[in-house]
Amino acid sequence: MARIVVVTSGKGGVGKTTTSASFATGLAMQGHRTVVIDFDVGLRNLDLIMGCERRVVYDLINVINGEAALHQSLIKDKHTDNLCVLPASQTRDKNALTMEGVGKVFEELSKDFEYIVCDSPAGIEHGALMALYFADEAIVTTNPEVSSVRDSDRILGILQSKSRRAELNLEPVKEHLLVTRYNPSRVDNGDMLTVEDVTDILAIPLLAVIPESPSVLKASNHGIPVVHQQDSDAGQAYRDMVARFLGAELPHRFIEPPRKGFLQKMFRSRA
Amino acid sequence: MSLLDMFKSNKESTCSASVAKQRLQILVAHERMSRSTSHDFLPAMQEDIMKVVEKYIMVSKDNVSIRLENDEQHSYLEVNVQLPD
Ligand SMILES: Nc1ncnc2c1ncn2[C@@H]1O[C@H](COP(=O)(O)OP(=O)(O)OP(=O)(O)O)[C@@H](O)[C@H]1O
Ligand SMILES: [Mg+2]
Repeated sequence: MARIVVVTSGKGGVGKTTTSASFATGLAMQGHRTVVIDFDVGLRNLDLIMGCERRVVYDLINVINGEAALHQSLIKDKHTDNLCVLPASQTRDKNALTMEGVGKVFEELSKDFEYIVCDSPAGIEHGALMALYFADEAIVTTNPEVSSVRDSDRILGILQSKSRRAELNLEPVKEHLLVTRYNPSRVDNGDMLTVEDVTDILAIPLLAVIPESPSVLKASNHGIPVVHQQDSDAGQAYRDMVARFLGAELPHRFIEPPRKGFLQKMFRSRA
Repeated sequence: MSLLDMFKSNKESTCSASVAKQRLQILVAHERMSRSTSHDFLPAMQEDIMKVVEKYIMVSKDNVSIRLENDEQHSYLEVNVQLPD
């Protein structure tokens, strides 16, 4: 059976799609057969971030409605072996995502892939529920900011009550905290929550911290997930995330502010 | 207090991030509690309470209200029966 991993958050714009793209790519780079599915029906974007927007023919809803075979809708990634993208429909209504239909798609994908990564839409409505319902693991994507943390806690409640694993009383969905768009300088100034603050409040294991980084925008401009960028801090942080997810024990990087000038250092050093 | 301490910002208590943390801790604890005390059983319990009340007093359903409320430390069950004149 494939592992189904949902990238979820409640709040919009926190970095779910960016994360889904880099996480799935990272798993594939490590040799795992991976498919990444866009669940954001009506607002598809994963294809753009993955750089395959011009090769979309059929989408998830076409497959669910029997208008296309699964293999016709899967897009093989150009940059990475072992990786496929299943795009969302841009035109259909999200209610076309039926639980039965999604379940069937997962069952079929499970034959060919080791990991199924689901890019959830924002919110806690139907689309987000369908994205998380079948999950074995959840990457709870959170920005160090009040509304994002609160919404992540909401999503944790939903994972614990409305997922398939919760409904069938199976082992609970494995929860991972991913703090994204972290700005160590602002944390140091005292106007951004620290990683410890966020972990304290949400009380789930920290998988990784992704720094706020200009390379994310550049990567999306090119349609090449930032995890490919060797010298980018965010890219390195995503590679660490994947390695940790696969069991490696690595220290967390990029949570300290950049080196300070000599004078500032002197005043800080005994703090 | 050493001279050096004066240059340090008084982080713990005054910075906006620690205000954010305090507010979140209270809010999240509150919201978790209202999630865990699921109100799904309220209609059924209302039915049962009605049956008992009806055994002794003639009241209509409209004259009985049942509410569950939470604050930080307690949950209250409030049953209001308006008796006929
Ligand atoms: N680590 C980062 N550093 C800088 N910018 C980032 C980072 N992560 C995400 N962004 C930017 O934030 C914006 C939102 O990211 P993204 O689309 O991944 O979020 P999302 O959670 O999928 O949004 P939605 O809820 O709308 O689906 C994008 O412009 C993206 O480039
Ligand atoms: Mg998105």
